Amino acid sequence: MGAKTARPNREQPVALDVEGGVISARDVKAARDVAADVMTERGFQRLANQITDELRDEDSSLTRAARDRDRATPRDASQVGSERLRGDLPAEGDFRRALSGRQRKLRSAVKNQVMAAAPASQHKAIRSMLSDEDSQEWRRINGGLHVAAGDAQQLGESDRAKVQRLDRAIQSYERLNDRTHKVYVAVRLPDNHQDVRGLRDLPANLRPGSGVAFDQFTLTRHNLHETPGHDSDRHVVFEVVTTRGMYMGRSDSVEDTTHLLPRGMQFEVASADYAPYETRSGGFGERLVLQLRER
Amino acid sequence: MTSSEWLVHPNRSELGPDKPGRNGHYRGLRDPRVRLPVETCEARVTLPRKMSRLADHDGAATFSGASWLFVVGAARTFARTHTEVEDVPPPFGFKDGGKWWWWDDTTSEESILDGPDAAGYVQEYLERLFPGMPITLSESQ
Repeated sequence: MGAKTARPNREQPVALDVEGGVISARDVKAARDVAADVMTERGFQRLANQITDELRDEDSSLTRAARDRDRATPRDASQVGSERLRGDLPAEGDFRRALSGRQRKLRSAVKNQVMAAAPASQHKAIRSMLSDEDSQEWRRINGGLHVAAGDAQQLGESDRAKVQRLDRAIQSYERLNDRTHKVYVAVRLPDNHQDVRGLRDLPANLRPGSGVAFDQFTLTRHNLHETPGHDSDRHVVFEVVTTRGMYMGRSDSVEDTTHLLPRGMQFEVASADYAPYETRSGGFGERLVLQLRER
Repeated sequence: MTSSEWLVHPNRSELGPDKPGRNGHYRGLRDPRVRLPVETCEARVTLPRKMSRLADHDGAATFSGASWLFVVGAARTFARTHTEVEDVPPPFGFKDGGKWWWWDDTTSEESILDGPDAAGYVQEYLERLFPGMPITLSESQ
């Protein structure tokens, strides 16, 4: 008694990765936690991709189209010239109103312009990836992007081409768009994760200051009350303000403010706050949101 | 060509088990800039014995954050989920159109939580959320 041991049963430190992956601790195997070292490895892969893309951009022997085709992640084509139309993350306590009819119409008009000018190949990619009832392709390709840390060059030829067609449709929207978007998406906490009563209850890698990468395409909503999971305390809702992505919603009486974010985005968790928001009925609700700021 | 061709089927963002390919999945990045959150405001609510499974070892539920707004938000979520209070009061307050709107239908130009009586307002609200339960507030700089 009293002799020190190596404590072989001691759990290794883990970090939450909602995308799921390697299970490294017996007691948390239901959660999708991966060892912090593994995430770092993929983080390095992303960094290597960025460096390669930047070097490729400096290669004047290739056309811009050729450079884009060989990029790991899509080029950011967005720009917002007007200071008035450039938004920022809401301050603590700010009421999150639903997107107005005027804002929906403005965004739909840009989408319709992009749609009218898009080649048949982009229409086909949108249909099979997003519109058709069968969602298998969307999940398979997004899953592949996750494994490849967002690098489309790691996918098969057919999937890479489809991803890049979607990229180009989004970039067409970004070039015409003149305003920022405030959008929401929810992710589920692991079943065994405790309720969030304090900031320290947040998963370790979702605390303010942490970095998160969205390797996949991500579907968000402009309206918080329309976001699947917004009414669940077992979900964490991300709030993103960005110039990136394409409005995929409607402008008529049907409530649909879907917004597609491009693959390969990186953010920093800026804050965790309880956000008051406009509900479907015009009343107000409240829920925890994690604000993400683009890196 | 109709606009309906560029709409997203709802099943692309339906809720489900987290795994690669599901919408919203992200990858956490280990980052040296991550800091332990500073929690300056704290409320401790002593729960009745029948709720002991939800309490800390001292029999209380603790709600803490960097601001009182976070604390009351966390407390209201807890009350809505775990207590039998029939009429959970509305969210504590929000800012809209340059004005603050409070749960008791009052308004103000400046946040009442920035003033010297902040803890008193929070105490009053928590007593509505947790009737009859002892409540202790503390605030550090």
